[in-house]
Amino acid sequence: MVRALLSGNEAVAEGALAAGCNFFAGYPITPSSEIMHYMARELPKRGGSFIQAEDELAAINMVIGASWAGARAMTATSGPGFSLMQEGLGYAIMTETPLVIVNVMRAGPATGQATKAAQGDLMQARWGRHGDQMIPVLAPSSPQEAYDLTIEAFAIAEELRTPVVVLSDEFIAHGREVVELREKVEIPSRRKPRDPSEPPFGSPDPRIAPPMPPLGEGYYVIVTGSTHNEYGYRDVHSFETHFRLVKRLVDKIRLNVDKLFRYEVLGDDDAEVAIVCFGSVSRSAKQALRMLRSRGVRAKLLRLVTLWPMNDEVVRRELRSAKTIVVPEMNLGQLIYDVQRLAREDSRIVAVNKVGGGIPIYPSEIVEAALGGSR
Amino acid sequence: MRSIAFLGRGGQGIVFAGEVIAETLFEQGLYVAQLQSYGAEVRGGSVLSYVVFDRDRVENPFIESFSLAIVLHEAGMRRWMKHLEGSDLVILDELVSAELRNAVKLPISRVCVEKGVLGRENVVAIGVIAASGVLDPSVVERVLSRKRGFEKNIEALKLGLELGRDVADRVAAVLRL
Repeated sequence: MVRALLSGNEAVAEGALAAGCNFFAGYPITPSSEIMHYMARELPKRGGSFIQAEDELAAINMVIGASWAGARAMTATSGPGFSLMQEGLGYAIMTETPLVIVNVMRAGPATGQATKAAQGDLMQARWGRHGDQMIPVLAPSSPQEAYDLTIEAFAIAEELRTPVVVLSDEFIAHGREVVELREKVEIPSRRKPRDPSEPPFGSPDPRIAPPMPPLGEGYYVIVTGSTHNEYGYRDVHSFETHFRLVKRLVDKIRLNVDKLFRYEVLGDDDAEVAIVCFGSVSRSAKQALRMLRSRGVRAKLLRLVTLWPMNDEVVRRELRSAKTIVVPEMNLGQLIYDVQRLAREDSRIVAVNKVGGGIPIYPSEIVEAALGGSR
Repeated sequence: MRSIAFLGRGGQGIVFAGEVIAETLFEQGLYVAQLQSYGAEVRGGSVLSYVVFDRDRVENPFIESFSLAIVLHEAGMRRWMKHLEGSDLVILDELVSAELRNAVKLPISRVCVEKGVLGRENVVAIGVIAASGVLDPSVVERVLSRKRGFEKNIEALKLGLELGRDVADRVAAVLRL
């Protein structure tokens, strides 16, 4: 184990390299650019490829191409670039292309505040593409987790043949903390078809991704964003083919929720007050939890590490005893929709929304919201 | 958990100072979290950088006051006034006009002008902190040696060590873990 002082962006890059990433294409954008700088410097030394694309549309499509050529491929961007990459992401979902995309959130919409942290892209990360689709979204709360979850993202991408989003933010990206780097990371290689008769876009068990035939190794494979059958042949008319395909693509993620869903619970089992959070805000939330408990309040914290797919059962169970639920977010309210859906009906749900200017949500604000007027 | 903040304006090396402090404390074996807040511009504008440090992993870097804050320019102050008011100790450059009950003034910028290390107020300030013994001056030197402007910075560091002697006990009292 090596200890290093790294920013969240550097930690993402280190995680990607540890996971065997050998292709990066991107277009620079604050606050994600340092990931690109790092990969530009390191990848050529290790036999990998780095391309600064002409824009984000090109970047995501280069990543898709590289992945089909057998590379472990990724890109990194921020809100405006993430918006531009949505079309490519949809194509990657439809073609079952493994890739990792890091979105370092800043305040939006549009160009917003480039250097200021936010969490306004949660819903976009889940739903940004048109059509029926689902991809895993992981949210680190520190540089250490940025490192660990980037590695995890590559493992999921390879196993399930899917794009995976790592949803970071400017605080994590530019904050430097101590990161423990692993000596060795093993990520299983993607499965190839045993022979050309094995369908590259069909699987008897929806939880298991079909094998991926690498281009240039003798497989004839049609890769299309249009509706296709198990062998990749376009079928843009029939109900059966379309329904079977999109159902399997969504089930591939949804039915693996137990495997994909990571979360952290701290505090009292029978808590009256619960804090639900994700990402960098969790750091303040943890201190708030300690402050509440030191005042004799029975409290717990539920931190979502996986933001998508959602494990409704776990969230419902963890919030069962809570009469008051505080949802601090650096946006105007997105995670709160899950809480409203899954909390017991008589609970009081309190939003703490603050975004812009690079001002974090402070522990005292969460404590105040939790105690309401009764303080 | 303790924290050190630098406030000033873009171009004063505020972020650089935070980096040096973070790397020094890290090399002294502590857990650190270093954050900063600045605009898109390289010069001008308000800049804050700070380091939270502890013997264990830092639970929360989003703190509401500092153990020690050093203010090198007024531009950095207004936005963080609440933080400063709640801090244990604030060191103001003597050119900063502000009244805070928890503040002492030091002639950081004057020393830079008189001793020919203009523009290195940030490193003089690091020296002031190091005078307390919380930062090991030899580790600070090693960290600075990896960065640009090493020789002038060592001069500035030594000036700071001297200037910090009078406040060393107060600085140590707020920073010691």
